[in-house]
Amino acid sequence: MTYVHLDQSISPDEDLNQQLRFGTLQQVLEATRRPHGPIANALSLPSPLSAIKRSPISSDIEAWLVTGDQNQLYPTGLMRWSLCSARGARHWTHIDSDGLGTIVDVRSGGKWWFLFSLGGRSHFGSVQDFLHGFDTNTAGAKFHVEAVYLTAGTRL
Amino acid sequence: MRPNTPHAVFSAEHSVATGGHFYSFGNMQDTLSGMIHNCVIDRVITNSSCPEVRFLLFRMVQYVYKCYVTGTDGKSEFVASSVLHGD
Repeated sequence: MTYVHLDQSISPDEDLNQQLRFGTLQQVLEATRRPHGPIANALSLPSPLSAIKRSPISSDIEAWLVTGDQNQLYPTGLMRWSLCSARGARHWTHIDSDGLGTIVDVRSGGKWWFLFSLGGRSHFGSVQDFLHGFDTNTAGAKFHVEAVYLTAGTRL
Repeated sequence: MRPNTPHAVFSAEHSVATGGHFYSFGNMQDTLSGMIHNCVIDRVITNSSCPEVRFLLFRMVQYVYKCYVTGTDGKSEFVASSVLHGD
């Protein structure tokens, strides 16, 4: 199966579309075995066969189980996914889309996860946050940063 | 990680991870803010879009209606508790 991934050995100063690659997970794996191979970063690989289980933080699952048409399918392939990233892969400052919360279980390797807050507030929702030239690439100076190092077996 | 949390990621080693998304009654304010950011500045602040999952929020509204109006479902007391008490 072909997936989209990024080759982040290409400078971000270039057009970022040049980092875009189509390939298989086998190609990503082979890239990690080459000493100076591309820095592949494959994100949001759908996992439609994952188990969907009740959880205290997943109100959507609970609501799904007790409301509506039970013949409708839960969107497992969108709500469960995998990531594989070569050493050096990065993902710049962003929030996850559509107001979604996120769980990550690292299975192998290690990832730094940098969590930002503005002005010491836990809620990122003030109009003031976006005035005065807000830019995610340079906002680091304004953010309070908490860095978490995730290793195999840990969950964010 | 709560909704609407600005974050960045760096892989210090070759890494494999599995993950998932969720909506939670306890984080609805963050979800709303995240959706507004998504709507107003889109790719400036997010890396993807997944509008197909928003109907899960509709099911959660139905669930709240069930809790408040037609009676709590005994099979799901722990979520009902968080809805009713705003935990």
